[in-house]
Amino acid sequence: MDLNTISYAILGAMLALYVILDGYDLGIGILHLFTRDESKRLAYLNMVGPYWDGHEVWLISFGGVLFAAFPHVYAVLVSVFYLEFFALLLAIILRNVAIELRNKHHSPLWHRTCDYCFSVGSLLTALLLGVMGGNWLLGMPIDQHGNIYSKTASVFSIFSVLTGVAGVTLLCMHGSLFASFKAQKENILHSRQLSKTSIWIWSANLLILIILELLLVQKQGPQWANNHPLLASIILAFITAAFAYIPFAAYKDRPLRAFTASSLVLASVLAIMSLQMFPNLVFSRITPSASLTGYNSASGPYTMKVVLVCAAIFLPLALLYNFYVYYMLEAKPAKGKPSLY
Amino acid sequence: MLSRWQFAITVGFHFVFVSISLGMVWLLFASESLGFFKNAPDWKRLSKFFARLFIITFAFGAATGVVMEFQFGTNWARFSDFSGDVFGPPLAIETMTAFFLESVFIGLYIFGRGRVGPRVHLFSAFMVALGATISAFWIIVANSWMQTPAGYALDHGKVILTDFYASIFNPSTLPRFFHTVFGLMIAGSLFVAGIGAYFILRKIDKPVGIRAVKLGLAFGVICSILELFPFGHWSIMQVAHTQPEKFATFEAIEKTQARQPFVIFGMPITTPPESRLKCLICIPSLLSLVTFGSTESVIRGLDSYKPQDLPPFALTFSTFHLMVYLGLLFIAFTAWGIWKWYRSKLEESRFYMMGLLLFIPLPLVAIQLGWITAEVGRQPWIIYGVMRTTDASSANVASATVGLSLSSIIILYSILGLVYTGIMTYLVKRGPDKE
Repeated sequence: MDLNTISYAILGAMLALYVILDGYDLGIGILHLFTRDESKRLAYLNMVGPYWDGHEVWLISFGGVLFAAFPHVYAVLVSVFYLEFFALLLAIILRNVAIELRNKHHSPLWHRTCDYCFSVGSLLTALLLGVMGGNWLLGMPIDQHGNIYSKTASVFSIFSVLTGVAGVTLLCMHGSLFASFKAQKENILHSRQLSKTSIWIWSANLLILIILELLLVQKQGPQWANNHPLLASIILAFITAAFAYIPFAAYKDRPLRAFTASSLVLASVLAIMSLQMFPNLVFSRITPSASLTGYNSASGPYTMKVVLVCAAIFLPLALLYNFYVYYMLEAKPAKGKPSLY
Repeated sequence: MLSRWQFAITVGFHFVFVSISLGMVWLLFASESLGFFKNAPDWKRLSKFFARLFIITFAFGAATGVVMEFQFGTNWARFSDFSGDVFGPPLAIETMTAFFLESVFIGLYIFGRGRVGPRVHLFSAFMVALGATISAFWIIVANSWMQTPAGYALDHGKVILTDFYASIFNPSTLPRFFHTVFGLMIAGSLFVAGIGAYFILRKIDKPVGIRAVKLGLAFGVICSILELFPFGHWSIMQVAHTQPEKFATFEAIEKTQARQPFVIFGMPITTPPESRLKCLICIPSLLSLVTFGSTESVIRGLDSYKPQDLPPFALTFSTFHLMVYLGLLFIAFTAWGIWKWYRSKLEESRFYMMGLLLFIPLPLVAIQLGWITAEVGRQPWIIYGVMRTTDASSANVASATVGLSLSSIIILYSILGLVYTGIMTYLVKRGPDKE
């Protein structure tokens, strides 16, 4: 394995961690609007409150490492998705500010406004991430000179809209499983009811994923999908098994297991996508030879080394104190009332 | 051009929140420590109240900061592509070292109050402050590299990193880091002191108010003195040695000569090729003396550079001088307060308290002026001497698209600004919790 492959893998792992961690609080953000009861909404907010900030850093850090390791990819990807990125940033701002401000002022109107902002912001974030993921899968129109032809219309194809919807439903399921786990542990909400909701969302997911699969087959699969057939089929089988296990675990009221399964599904979906895409970082759908790969758009080996050494030291450290904070706060859960706000 | 405006507006807006949050984070840690070691309820109430203001400011700062990072790719793709090899690592390391630290521990700090032990709580406050400061360091590293690039080589039309250490500690990193952080701490100090003064004036909470005023003044006087000397001086010496045309613009040096006069007060006039400055108060030879140690030292003037290599004169000159005047004003004002404190006349001086309240926005203005001085003074370069700003923007983004994003940013930021001031005023009027 060379440095570029390691960077590629680290970026994948960071994205997977982001989707698993921030994924559940995006899901909770979307779903919490469906309960009208103030104390229940507060319970949901408490699950998100102390952690969302740390979770979001995985995305920001992903951006930073991508910039340092593959500057050309960063420049292309982010400027091609110009409007999507701005919409994403606005959604993130809306969501973050709403979480922090909600309990600073006490009036039903203020609370409701903030709840809507939190929910809509989360929904848009999940949707846009899904849309960009779908477009990334299909590839960009890059010609042999490295020019990019991009129109917003082509960014919103049926396929990418569906991946956007899949992003929303997958994270909703992920979030409701997490909520159900916390509810069971702290005895605050109806954990069984939440598990049932997750099963419903799970069925919706199944439907969407089947359609997406069919669409991919109908496009005869993107041209890049020919890497490591054996490893790919093992991961695929694993995804299927873990995905199928979710409703069973949820039905038997074992939300932690279901949540773990759903985390594994999210991570392995990303894993199989990156495996198939490797070594391309941005695939060109018109001239495959013009694709941006982990080799032709990387920064110099010296920079790569600097970034990797820092990542090797600081990312495990970041995980460590992430867990430290969970551990300290979960030792004494705040019940009902949002602590201190 | 639109991209420049967008970047300027987003950075300027982000920097306001950074000034307040980073500026008061060490004061917050100081008051948490006082509460912890003295076991004093008033200090604890003060910490709890300012922690609330801090978390809101931090959330606004973090949210607007993400925009910054992605804008390098969205609007400045050619710059990112060209310099990513050197410019990327500090940003990546900032997120990995500092931002994680700050964002993870802020959850423990805010939500842990009363749930975790006092020692863990104090520790989390320290980690938040440390994270914020390290974060400032890496951002300044990245920006300083644009001012005084070092540790790189040009290869196939791109910048390649050759010496990581030299690129981090490029000539301007340290002076600019200290100058910026202490400037932010003046803003944080006067913010805390001003709100304390409001509590006293409106009789909302006298014990917390007077503590906030004293804490703010103590930090404020130390920081504003250090800000001028050594850090301000160090900073300007760095500019004089490494960016002479910027220095010539700051100090309005027209001609290359010995015995340069020191401009104390001047008025920029925009009618070239006549004298660009109407000098009102000048001290002959002083600039040569303080910069290079002798009145006979020759300093290069604006006439020795090509006009297309010079930053805009009037803006750079006036922002620089206004910043310096404000800095001197902070020293005088905080020292006056310390004098009153020493004579035990601080509390009853309503006049001074009014002054403190009015002083809240001034350091924020000074910081913005300083930032304009530094960045406009770097023009026409985006990377000093290496890449021009005009060659840096994204090629594949239409200006109509930038117009759309710029206008939506202006709308959103105006709403955010209103919401922020509204909620801050509301919280300040409500005052600290009684226990």
